Amino acid sequence: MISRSPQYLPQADRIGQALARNRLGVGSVVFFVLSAAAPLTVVAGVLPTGYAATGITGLPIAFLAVGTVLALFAVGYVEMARRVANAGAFYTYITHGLGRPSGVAAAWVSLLTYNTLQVALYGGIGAAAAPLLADWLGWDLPWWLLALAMWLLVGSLGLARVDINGKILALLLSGEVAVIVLFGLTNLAHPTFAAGGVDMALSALSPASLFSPGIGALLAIAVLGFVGFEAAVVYSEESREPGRTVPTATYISIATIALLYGLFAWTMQIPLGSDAIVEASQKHGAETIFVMAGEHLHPTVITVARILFVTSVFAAALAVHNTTGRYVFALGREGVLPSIFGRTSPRSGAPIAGSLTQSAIALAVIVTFAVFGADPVPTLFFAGGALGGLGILLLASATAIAIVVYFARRPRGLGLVRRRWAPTAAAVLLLAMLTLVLFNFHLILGVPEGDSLAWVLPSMFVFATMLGLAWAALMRATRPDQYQQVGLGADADLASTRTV
Amino acid sequence: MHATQPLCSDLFNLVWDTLRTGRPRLHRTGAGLTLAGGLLAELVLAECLAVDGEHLVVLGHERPRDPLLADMLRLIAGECGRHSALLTWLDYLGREEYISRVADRLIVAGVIVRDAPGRFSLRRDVRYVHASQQGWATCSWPATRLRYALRDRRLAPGDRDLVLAALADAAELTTTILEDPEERGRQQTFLRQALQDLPAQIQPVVAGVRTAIGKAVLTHRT
Repeated sequence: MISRSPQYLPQADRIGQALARNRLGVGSVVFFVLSAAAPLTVVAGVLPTGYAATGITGLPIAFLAVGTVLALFAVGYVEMARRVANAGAFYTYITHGLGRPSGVAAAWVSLLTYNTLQVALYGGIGAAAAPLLADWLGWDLPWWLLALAMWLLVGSLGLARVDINGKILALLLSGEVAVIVLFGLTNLAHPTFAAGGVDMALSALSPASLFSPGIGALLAIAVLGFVGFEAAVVYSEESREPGRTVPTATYISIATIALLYGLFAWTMQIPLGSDAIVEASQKHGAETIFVMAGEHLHPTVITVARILFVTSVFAAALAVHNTTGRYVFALGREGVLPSIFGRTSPRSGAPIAGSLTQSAIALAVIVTFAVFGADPVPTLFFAGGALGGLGILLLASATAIAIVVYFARRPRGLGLVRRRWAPTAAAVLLLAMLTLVLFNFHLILGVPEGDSLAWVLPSMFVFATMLGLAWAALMRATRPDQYQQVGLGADADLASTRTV
Repeated sequence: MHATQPLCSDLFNLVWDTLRTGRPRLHRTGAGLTLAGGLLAELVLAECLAVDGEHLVVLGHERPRDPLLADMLRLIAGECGRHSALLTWLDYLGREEYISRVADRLIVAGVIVRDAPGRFSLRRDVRYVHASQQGWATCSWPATRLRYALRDRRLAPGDRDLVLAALADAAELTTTILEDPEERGRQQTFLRQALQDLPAQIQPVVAGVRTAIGKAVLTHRT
């Protein structure tokens, strides 16, 4: 069918070579993943609040355990990336594995999850920026004013399709990792031997500490730290060697996050002892790591670290805002959401409607929390973030099942371990984790066991699922052509012409 | 009177603000992909190329008279054993080299001039502006023509301007063409109806442009 010109005898693959120059390597993909993961936001904000809220010291091993489960999950996940062109990793794979109704339901759960994760970050900016403003200017501003300032900046940059310049982001990310390593080494260099402090800290690394009551809360916190690992596969079509780049980047990202957070959470226990870290975290909140490091490091280092904490929260908020906007855009393109959400600004390429919707949701949440006078760090930042982490866990569990089903139908060209055993084991472990998190969610919220809030908040995902299933049924009945395009994202347009 | 310009030259004058700023109205990736779609559409309309599913098929060895198209066709014919995917070719032809070659056709025709940054300029991008009063008229003509066609509901299935409108719509440039906000809704509705009659052989090219731009949005390349 393809005719070849006799005059033209190509010697080298000039098309492939020319396009490869703009493709992403492993380092670039890892960098994209980690920049959205915002390491210092997790280390300074999530870890101390996790110790304070749960009172449990098994956080380090929880990161390592979740990292191991996600690495197992990634075996099938990256194989899917080689086979399925991808708009939004989780719901695309769920559509291909479990069918369109489940895919639409997953899309709605994804929207709820990423919006929750983004909005939660507004609860952290007050804690990050207030000490600096008080130090430099003597201002004591309410958290919501700082949150609104960040909201305005994130919303404006999101509309203009401005990502933080790659080089600046690389500098900030390197700075964050350097601070975490420095603070961790400082903790290691100042162990406490009082009351068996080091022995207790070492026991926190024992797998046995995973089997303590309330482990579900620790798992939810750990999952929150890994948010962003799923994004690597989105770049599969843009990567230099799709078969190698994305799998390698995914494993490196998971390992880096697990080791960085797990080991730092552990070193936090070294200078004080396991019990005292809970008390210190309850006393100092998001200030804990700065207070601890401030006893041994020069104040300038602490100031630089605080600045990086602010930039980390901001960079994460912008990254998740842009990711959420793109999710909405993909769903608009394939007809799950109204077509206006599939449009972009010609000049910037920003998904305008998606960006504005995300900003509107964020504003509503900030105003609600401000009006009710809630403490933003334990409620909005931590509990909101953990709720988002629960959403990610739910999506990952459904994706793991979808991967098993997908490869059961298309077994060719893949070994049993990759297509059956690893995805099945990951699905079982993720579902077990999900169950534990649901049973211990009251610890995250700081409410008594059996409190209705601990069930009402996770029920939002059930509600989103039901709504998604109903939406899929409505689409199937009223817009059957568009229903066929669910899960295709930007590919929906080209796919619709295949019969031409 | 306006000399008839090739489809992609008209498209260039929609994508690029050659009347004022000299900069693209689209983000750089989108501009390149749209012009790449225009070039492929020219080859399809000349019946030198077809799109089968999502793959390019060279239809014959007759060379187009236009040197750029002839060169492209030779390249596609030689490489399509290895690379036949429409999206791959849109990516390849959307590169700066081909944007520049599309602009060269208008430069040679005396319509626009290239305004490259000087050695000590802080500006990095190449700009294209109309070369003269006559050039201004030629540059503004495609948008004016489409505006009138949409206002008067004159876009027939065989019109080349229907292809131009389809590619502009795929690049989300419609709002640039439809200046009157009061008429925009009505004219967009007409455009949607008119695009239903887009020639079948052009539909995959237009869908390919829209898909490629959508993928660029999803992977932060805009």
